Amino acid sequence: MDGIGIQTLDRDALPISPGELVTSLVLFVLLAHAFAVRPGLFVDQLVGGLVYGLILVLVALGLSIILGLLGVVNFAHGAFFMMGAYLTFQVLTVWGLPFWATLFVVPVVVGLVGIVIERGVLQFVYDEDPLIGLLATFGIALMIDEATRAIWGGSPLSVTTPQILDSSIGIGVTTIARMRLFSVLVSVVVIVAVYLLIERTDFGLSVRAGVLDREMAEFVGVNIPLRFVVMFFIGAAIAGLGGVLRGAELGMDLSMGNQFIILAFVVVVVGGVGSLFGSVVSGILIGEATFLTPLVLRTLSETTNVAALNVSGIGGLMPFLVMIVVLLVRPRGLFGQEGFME
Amino acid sequence: MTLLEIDGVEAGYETGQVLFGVDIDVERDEVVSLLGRNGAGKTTTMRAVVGADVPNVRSGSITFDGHDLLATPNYQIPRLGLTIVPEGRRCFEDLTIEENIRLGANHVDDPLPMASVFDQFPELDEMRDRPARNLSGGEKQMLAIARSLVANPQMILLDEPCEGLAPYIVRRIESIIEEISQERNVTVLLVEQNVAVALAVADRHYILDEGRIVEVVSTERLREDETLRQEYLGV
Repeated sequence: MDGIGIQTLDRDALPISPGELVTSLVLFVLLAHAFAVRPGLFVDQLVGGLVYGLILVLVALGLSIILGLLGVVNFAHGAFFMMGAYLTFQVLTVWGLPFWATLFVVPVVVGLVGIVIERGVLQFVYDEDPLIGLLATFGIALMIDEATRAIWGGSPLSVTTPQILDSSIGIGVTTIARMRLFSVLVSVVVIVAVYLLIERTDFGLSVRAGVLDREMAEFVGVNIPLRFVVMFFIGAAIAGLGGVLRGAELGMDLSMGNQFIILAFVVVVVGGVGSLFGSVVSGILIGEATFLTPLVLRTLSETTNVAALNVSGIGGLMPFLVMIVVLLVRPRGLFGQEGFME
Repeated sequence: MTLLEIDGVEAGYETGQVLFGVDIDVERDEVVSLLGRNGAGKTTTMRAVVGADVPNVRSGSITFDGHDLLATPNYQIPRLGLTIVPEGRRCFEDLTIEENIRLGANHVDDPLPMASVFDQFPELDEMRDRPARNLSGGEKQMLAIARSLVANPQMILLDEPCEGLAPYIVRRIESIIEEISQERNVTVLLVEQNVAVALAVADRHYILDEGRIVEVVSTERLREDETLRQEYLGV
């Protein structure tokens, strides 16, 4: 997988063809129709899709960083996300610390677990076939799953969020839960911070150099093993923070890790492997597609009296439909320069 | 005073041994060339010095300014004052000229000011925000040398800096080597297939053949001994 690079927006990567223009116009008309028929529900779904998409981005960012820099397809990344959610329960309910503490304690703990895994297992498989790394991290994911079951049990859990995040804000056509807005705020801050770290600091410069040519980066004096540890910590910590936000809003269960790791892979593939900007666009696109498509089809079905348009469960299919369509049109993803596992 | 001492180095790859007891001494402030045909082991020697993962050095020692390089992690070697301009330039293609040079400066204790390096390479200064991938072969070579030079090294290893370049660029590279040697007192070990370049810039020449040093000659002798050049270098 040499040559996978962490890159940001490449303006030449996304020219708009006439076909894409027509598709965009049709989508716009459908969305405008849904908004006109059910404005309140539309905004609800729009915000829900944004929150869901941004949490997908948080998981996908770490996955993309680890894949880009270390060349490892980290299947344990979903387990970091789940661990973040369960540790939220631990910190809030068992240890009795305030909710705000989870935003710092949980990512740090998950990041440290990530370091143990990177130093204990993954550093020995960097030069091996990527399949070895995939299998090793799959094994680690199973171990974390079972450890979680042993510690917190198999039943879903939930936590109580602070009063200030419990209420809603009215915006005319509907109300939005403060917790959702808080999730958006935290996610955006983290995404911008990661962008600035990678693009605007000397540390990020050395990481980008390591992604482009690991050996040459070492020849100019970059301590690549240290970069690996730090980036693995950051990737795991961001996934853990995603788990905090998801767990605080909707609770935690043992399936959330596997569910989100599959979706995060979809986000990375659709965005283009190695492209952080692509992961952000793709995560929000998939989140919105998941939440808005059922509403768009339902309103269209009601307007046209064609019951078949109201497809049950279409939301859960949307990430994969989006991936199929994007890969048919752009096999390297929206902003990718290398094919997946090319 | 010997700055770089390669002593009895045997090294190779999974496919087989390439170096069979290579001995090279480079004195401080010298420009020394390492000549030989394709496959003689020149690049393998350079890679062994800078601690690349491959080749695997099986025996011998490599000492730089009193430091055992074989016991030093490769990313710490630039801090000792030894940098490399590798074969094929290997600029970081998606990074700008300025970022490439900054990388060379960021990981040593006493780098040169960026302005000083751009003064030496005015052609790079004019397009410092351009990604390396948009540069010509000659410009990339200058960038690779600038990235190495900004670390303010005692010694630079240059691996085939003139490979595939137009004659006027080759002359520019020759003048750069002379400048960094004479004005900045940087010691140079130059690997070349182009004997004319080695004759123009180097003081002494090691000739490598099938993984063994077969001759150490002065510039005068290399220029005059046609039999030697024919036998080992094919020119």
